[in-house]
Amino acid sequence: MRWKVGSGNRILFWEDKWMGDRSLKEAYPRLYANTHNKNKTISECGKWDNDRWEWIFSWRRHWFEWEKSQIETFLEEIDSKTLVRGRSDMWIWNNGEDMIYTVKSAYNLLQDSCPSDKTQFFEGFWRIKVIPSAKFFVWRTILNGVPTMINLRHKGVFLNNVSCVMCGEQDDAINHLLITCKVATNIWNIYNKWIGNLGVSHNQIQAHFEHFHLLELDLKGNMLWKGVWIVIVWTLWNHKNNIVFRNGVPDPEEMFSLAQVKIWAWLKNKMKNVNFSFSDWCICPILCLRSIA
Amino acid sequence: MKWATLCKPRGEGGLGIKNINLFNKALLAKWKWRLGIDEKGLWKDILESIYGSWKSLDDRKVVESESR
Repeated sequence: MRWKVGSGNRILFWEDKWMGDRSLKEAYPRLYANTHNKNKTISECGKWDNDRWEWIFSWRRHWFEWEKSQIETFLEEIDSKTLVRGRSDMWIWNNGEDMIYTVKSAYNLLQDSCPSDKTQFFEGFWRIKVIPSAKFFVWRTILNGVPTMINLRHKGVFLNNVSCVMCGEQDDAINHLLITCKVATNIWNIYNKWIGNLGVSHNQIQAHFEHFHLLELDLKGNMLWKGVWIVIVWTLWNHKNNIVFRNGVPDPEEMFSLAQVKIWAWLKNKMKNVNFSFSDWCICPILCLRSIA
Repeated sequence: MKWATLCKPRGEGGLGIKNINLFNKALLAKWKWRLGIDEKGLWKDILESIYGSWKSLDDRKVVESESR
């Protein structure tokens, strides 16, 4: 918040910050020490001569020759501000529109001043149209907030074995569970077959998601397509839970069909113009999405 | 999940929950803004009579203690 000078009736000449970021007493301590009245407002430091403002100062002693140049810069600086007769001094706020204070702009400013690791990942993420709980699961996944056994052990849950329940070969880190585990790889292979394409494979979950788009679809279509990824990953996770808690067995084919059904049923119920059947969806998903996007 | 993470805007991975401490400061600062903008007001006269002048309100310490 800064001062915008009007007639100078409320701003203290030496004390307040009305010239840039510092007060004049900070900028010219020597001059300040030599003034008679330190608590004057701006309007008390001069007078109007017709329509011209004239500064009037009284100093406690005469200036030495070597101090004169400082005085000159001082006078030059204060002359650069024009006073406005009859208009009261006002605040201006540098961070809002029209220099007007808004709580929103101040809150954003305060929040930006807190250090945080910036991630671009979630830009646009919440606009993806897909089953909300699946989306929520992916959000937690990206922030590493899902209860994998590794994470549970990290939080102090006593576990002997933290290897992946689907393959048993490696620890169940999230990148392994959802992408590099052989069951997961199998699912992504089925996915590639479904779209008749060899997708680029990443072994890191964020990159995998970010590269999950199809050239055949436009922006809107790809927003729906991202939803397919979200549901596949979510189904995989739920299936893993089935194995842990309900003695399920890993079955990539079944998992994938389940994901397909879930997406189709959700689209059918949520979007107005879904005219394709489930078998259309299984045969040619790209055409189906084009018809609604 | 850390509370600080949840308070981030949704586009940055949080849930956009307001950090009420910071938000309170932003709201309080609005009064400081109005103190400088409004020409007249009974509330201003009262504040100025309590704190001597509105300028002592400008002192950050006073504002901080008022916010609690």
